[in-house]
Amino acid sequence: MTALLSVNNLTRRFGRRAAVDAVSFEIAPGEILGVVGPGGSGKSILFDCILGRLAPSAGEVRLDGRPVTGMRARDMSRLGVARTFQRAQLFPQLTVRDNLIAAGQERRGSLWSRLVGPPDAGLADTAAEMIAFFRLDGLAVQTAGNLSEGQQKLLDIAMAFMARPRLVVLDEPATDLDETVREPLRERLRAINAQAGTTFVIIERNLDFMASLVTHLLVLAEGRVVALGDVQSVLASGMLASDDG
Amino acid sequence: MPEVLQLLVAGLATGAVYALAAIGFTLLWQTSQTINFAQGEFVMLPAFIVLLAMNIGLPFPAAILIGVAASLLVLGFLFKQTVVDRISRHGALPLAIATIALGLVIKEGVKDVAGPAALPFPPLGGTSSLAIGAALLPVHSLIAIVVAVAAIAGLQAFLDRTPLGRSIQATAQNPAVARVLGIPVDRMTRYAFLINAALTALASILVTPVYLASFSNGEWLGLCTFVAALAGGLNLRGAIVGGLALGFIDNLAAAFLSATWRGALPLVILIAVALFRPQGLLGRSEEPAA
Repeated sequence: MTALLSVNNLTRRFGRRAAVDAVSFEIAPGEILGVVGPGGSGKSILFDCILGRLAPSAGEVRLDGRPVTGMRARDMSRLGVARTFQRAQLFPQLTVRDNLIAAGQERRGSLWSRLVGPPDAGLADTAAEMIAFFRLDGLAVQTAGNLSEGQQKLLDIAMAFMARPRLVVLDEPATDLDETVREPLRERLRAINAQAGTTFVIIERNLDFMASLVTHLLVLAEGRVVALGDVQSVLASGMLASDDG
Repeated sequence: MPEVLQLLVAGLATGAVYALAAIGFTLLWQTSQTINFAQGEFVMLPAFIVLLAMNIGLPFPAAILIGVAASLLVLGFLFKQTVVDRISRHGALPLAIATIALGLVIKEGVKDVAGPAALPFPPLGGTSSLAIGAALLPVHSLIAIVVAVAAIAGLQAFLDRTPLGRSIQATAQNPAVARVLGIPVDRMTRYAFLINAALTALASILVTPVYLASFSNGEWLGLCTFVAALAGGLNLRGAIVGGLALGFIDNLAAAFLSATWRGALPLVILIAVALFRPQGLLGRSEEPAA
């Protein structure tokens, strides 16, 4: 099967130090790849290079076999790539519902329809589904900036799915969530993966959350890949034993 | 009692015009971190374009259309393309200084072309007044209120009730995440500049009959716009409240204080807001998150 995302020898140097050093991996459609490693191992920089926020020093990123290295965030979005943020990134003065609609409306309709078309851009039902799906019931007309930290995190994740992406890059989705929310979130991510076939790449410090969700694991240390494979084999290899995060 | 009603109408008319300019100022700050110190000159200039068009024989309504169109082109499109896009990459401070320079260029340019004397500008609705009881209310003030309120309500409806308006708000509140979600941030910012140009042109047409067309109008209008926007907390609803409040206070001062004190009043308000309510009259600023 053709890889949905392939990363080949991706390297990012800061001066002489390689924060990401010749990292290579592939993800097939529908897989869930977890990226783990201690603090400073290069996980976030790897994400930024994949998503075009940082230009890699060497190597390339391909989506469906097509080079997308350094592509602008907006163009990545058009190709069906979405992301969430370690600290929830929202539109704080818009309501929860409007945040969701804003997250999905860009790929629908012409400029004219966005001026004179329906205010909800035809996304009211999808937004309502997401609100229910991510346990944000009763908060639809609440201003996003007034939500709790955990609710903001859930909204940030829900927004990533509004445009029906093929690949979602999740940056520490379980961090800042209490135990009562973590398990439902894991179930919902698993459900989206099963129902829509959405592919995920996840950075997460919470190994319990990660291990029971991902199909494959990539372990980074000092910018290098030290283990890569299906989740059982990587866990059995003991490569995570000394990992602190 | 008639004096109170007259003051109320005059305050509302002036305040609504300040609000138009303050909304535009706020929109530029939110979408592009542009502190436009030339905003007063942006309100001054369109009236002169209208007068120029009338001088070459166009009727007043056509001249207004020319004034608005020229404002969209020069104060919206060209301002963004030639000044903001080139200088903003060096930071907000160089851009703010560039707008001060632009304001001076516009002011001195108008002075050179149109001369230093203040010129009369035709009021919308003529010079007649409406008698309500013992109060005489200038028709152009009433029209100014209706037009400005309609423009503000229309803009608010556009921003709140259309997908395009939502994208502009999203760009203003968090441009980094707007990009990630595929929103064309640069295009939304361009629309904000065009909206500002339209608002300043409208403010110009509504306020110049009262102040007369003078090259120096931008100094006072710019100060009032700046104070209204800052007092409002640099958010759109705050700019409306700040503009209206300043309009009322300005007219009350004109009635009960000397001209000297009236001129100092916006600065007194600015200091008072900075000391006692630095977050603005309506609270939290909508400063972009990234």
